[in-house]
Amino acid sequence: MEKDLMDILRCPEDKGRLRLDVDEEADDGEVLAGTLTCQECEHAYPIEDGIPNLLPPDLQAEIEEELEDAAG
Amino acid sequence: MCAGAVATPRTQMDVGQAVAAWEKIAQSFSETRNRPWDQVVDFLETLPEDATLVDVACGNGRHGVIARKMGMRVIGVDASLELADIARERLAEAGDKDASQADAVGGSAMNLPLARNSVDHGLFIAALHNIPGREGRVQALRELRRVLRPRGMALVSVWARWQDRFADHYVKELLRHVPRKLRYGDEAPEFGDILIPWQGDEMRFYHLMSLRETILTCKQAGLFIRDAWSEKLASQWLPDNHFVVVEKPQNVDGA
Repeated sequence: MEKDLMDILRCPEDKGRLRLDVDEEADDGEVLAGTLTCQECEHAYPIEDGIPNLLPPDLQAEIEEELEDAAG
Repeated sequence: MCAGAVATPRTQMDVGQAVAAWEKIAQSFSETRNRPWDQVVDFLETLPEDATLVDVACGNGRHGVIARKMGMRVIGVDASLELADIARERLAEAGDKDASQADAVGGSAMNLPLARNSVDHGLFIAALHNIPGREGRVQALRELRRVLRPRGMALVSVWARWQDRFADHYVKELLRHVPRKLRYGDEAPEFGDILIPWQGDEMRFYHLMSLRETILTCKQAGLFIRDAWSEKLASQWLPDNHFVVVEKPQNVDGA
């Protein structure tokens, strides 16, 4: 994820601005791992392998449940 | 049920269920979706090269890649993190890092994680039909309208209901729909809902529409219709895809 993207990324739930915490970045400054935290609802969205996961928390939980059911 | 046969969902699907199927088939699905559609390339060619483009439900990024090669800044959003991961790699390979930016983001078309008025133009290709429920589809298009800047354009495409491949299924559905409606009431699937197996196995949810329903859904979301047509991409007799060019009106608050 490029840091410039912060200008337009928002929380999917309340469209609040996000705060970026970087855990790991590439030489060119691309964020590889970290967290995006909504400044309104304070929900934390992970950045993993360079991809921010901004799925709404409820949908994320539903998808995980479905995938676990399929695996189990 | 024999492998490869389409089916009708017993009741209405929830979104999590619909998305999970894509997450499971992401790799093999991506391998079959390499060639960009001419209709999408033609649309992209009408846009300025320095535009910011959102590719809603970007899949493996096959269309975003074209936009990036043209010089656009591309933001691909997909509810499948596996597909977003593939799109990220392909977008990175496609462009000159100094010339333009490209990102892939995990996110839902129904709740786009983007600010209002933040992108110039958009793509929403072959994905609106994967959202269960009319309300959800209208919500996704409202989200597209919200993130587009005023006068921003987007190309929306969906699979056609009355195409060669599914016409006999829907003729039978005409007879089955009313009894199902009586039995399940509001829980009954909508006419047009269909489960299509992926390589004979994982069932993917689709709601196939007429061109009229596609246009009405876009209008209900407050988008102007700039163009709308149907085409035969793979079918012989009946059009298998509908295309709609929508525009965000100038005088809306974008909410």
